[in-house]
Amino acid sequence: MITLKYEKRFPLSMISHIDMLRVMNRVFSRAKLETEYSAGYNPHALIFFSPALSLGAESVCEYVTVAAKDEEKGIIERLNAVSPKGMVFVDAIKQPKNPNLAAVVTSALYEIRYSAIEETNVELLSKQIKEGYEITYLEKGEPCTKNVSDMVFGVEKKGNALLCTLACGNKNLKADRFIKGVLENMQLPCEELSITKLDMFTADGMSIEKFLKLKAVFD
Amino acid sequence: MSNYDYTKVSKPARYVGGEYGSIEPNKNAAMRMCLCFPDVYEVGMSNLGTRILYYMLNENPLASCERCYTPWKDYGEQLKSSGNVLTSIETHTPLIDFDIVGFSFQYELSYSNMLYMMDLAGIPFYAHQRGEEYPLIIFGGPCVVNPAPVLPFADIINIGEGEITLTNLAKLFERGKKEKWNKKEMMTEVEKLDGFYCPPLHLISHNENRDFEYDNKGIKVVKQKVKDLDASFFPNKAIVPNLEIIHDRAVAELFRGCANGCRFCQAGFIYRPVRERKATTVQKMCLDLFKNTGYDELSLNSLSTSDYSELHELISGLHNEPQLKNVKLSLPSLRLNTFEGSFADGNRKSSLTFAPEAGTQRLRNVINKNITEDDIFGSLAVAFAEGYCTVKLYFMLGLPTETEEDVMGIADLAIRVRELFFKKRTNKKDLRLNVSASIFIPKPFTPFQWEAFISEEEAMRRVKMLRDALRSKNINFAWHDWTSSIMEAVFARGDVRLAPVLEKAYRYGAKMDGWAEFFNYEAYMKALEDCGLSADKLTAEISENAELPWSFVDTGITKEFLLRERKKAYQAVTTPSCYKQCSACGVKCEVKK
Repeated sequence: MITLKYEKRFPLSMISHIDMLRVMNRVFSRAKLETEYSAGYNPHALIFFSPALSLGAESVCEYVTVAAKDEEKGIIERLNAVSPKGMVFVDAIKQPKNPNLAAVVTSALYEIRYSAIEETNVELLSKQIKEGYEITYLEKGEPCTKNVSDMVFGVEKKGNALLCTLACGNKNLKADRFIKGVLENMQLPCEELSITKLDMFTADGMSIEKFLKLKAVFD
Repeated sequence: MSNYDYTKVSKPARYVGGEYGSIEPNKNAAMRMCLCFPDVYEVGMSNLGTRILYYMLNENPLASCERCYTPWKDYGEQLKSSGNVLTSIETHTPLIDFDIVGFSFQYELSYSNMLYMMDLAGIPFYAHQRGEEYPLIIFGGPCVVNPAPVLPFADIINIGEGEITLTNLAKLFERGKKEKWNKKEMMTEVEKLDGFYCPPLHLISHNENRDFEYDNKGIKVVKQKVKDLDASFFPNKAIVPNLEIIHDRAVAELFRGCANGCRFCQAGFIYRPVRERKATTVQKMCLDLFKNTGYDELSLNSLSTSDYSELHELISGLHNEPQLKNVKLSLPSLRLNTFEGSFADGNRKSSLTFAPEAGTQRLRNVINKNITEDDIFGSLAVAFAEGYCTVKLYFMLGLPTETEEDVMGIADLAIRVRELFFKKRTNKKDLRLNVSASIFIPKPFTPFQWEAFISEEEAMRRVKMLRDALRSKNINFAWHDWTSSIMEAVFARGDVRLAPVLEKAYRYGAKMDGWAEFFNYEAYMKALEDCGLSADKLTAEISENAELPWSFVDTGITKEFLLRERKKAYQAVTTPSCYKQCSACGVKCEVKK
């Protein structure tokens, strides 16, 4: 097993998580990775992703684990030579078995940029979140209101961006849904919105990169 | 427009580009072309012709080529409401900023999307409305062997294979740019090249975008065809889409043209003669494509794959290639009479599709589909014994001389296929048998080009007959919508009076007409009425002596040959394949017998 860290940038950020499996398969095939296949009626390469990133958001910390026999050395260069625009592989960590990041990850840090950042009262927002915070969004075309306090772990302003730590994984709060809800509550316009996922964490608050490196040594 | 908020639209991957294999175009090329496909990304990206031209032009130092597909309705509406214009995928350049904008027409019902795209790009529809500030608009693809219905919208009509014509055009653009030609000077020079026709040079008059009149006296536009396909350009790579497209696989082209001469099939005549690539060339193409795309499925394309003279050598060569171990091979367009179980060996036993086209031997002889019931049942017996349990059978209704007996023959054939399955099956699986019927559409440059299109009443009577006969037999039956078929028939053989009809239909809301859920019959009916035309009259039988709207186009096929074939059709006499005997169609060729 080998876990690959990659960035997902525009225009690849416009590719849905479902389509990423096919994209990744073809990248691995072009890079001639020695992937193992499942044994079934429709054999497919054994590939495991970290939790889904919402459509349109960029990320500098996506992970994919693949059952491949390749060595770490040179693999990044091989992959980047055959990747579509917006996909940049940055690290490869050998794993004794699938680290199952889809289950291990519980939160993620997002950097959110938008035009009304100056007018955003972060202190008030943090206080409101502690007391119980509702946002309204469209779910399958129907408006839906939900208390998201237990899915927001931190909000702060840094420079001209908002940094938010939100639930990620099995229990998930989409960053775009969160910020749109906040701006609507504050009656601020939602313009020039850009979201970048900066990091992901385990339930203990450990960065996934560190988690993977520890696993690689101790498992 | 990379800063556009694409998350507001469905499937933004259609518009953002950046696919592996897409090209950074040379913005300083003499001929900057945007190749438009008048259907959505998933359909357009599957088209082999535009794939070839994309790479060919981008490898030519004189040319650059970018892509544009029809936006889905949501994106189209947003472009309009936000005041943005349609752009190319590669560099997000507005269409108006190209030297030349090309449309490839693969089916007549995509004409409305050409107007939709011009509208979204801010380009006036009619050539005479466009000044020097607009790009030249060029039309190509199989539909324009009869360019009459779209003449007033085009600056240039391209008749023939782009490998030849567009290479010549790029050379001309280099001269034109140096010598600062205006549009008219450019068109005048373009027409001196073979395979081009520039309608604005022949426009005599029009009356407020109606009653267009062209002078085509003495004009013959000769369809250009690659002579040596084996030496001709074929890309060793493909644009690998980031979302699933219709034909999501690597494609190698085996040969062009078809030797069978089925009398309803336009492709079978206009792509003549048969021109093959060598098996060694194709095998190398396949290996390169696999290596450069990462696809796990490879398709060997042609109009009739089992006629390929080196098919066995090629298949075994590909099977023995260790690099292709996990690659699924698909062979579309296999004819029933040459299907061999061994081809499918090693592949998953999924579904088989056959197109007998007609239900009785008599009618199959009429249309020159040279297969017999022995061929059909022989092939299916092998397939069923091999474990196949899904079969699709394609037929046509409304063929010339069709009787009730022929219609019932379809049901009879399907029922006997089912019986055969239960005799031959090797496991307990049930048969999934799908019968589908399309409506016969007479097309230019076929022996049936003079035939009438069936009336709605009669078509539905035959559909109902068939549906009743197949009901309770556990056979699925689907038929193609008559309304979209008649509009296809209207435009396939239409004359220049259809141009304003098309424009009006678009104004009434027609677009995406290739999509059954969007096809807007009422828009076309209203438009026809506005122009004083009737679909029934336009699709009636044409006299053999009448001057046809496409008579100034020369595909190589002679009228005498088509008339001979028509006569033989009425006598239910078949014509052998070009491999067996030359039937003097007029096309000069050297088909290996």
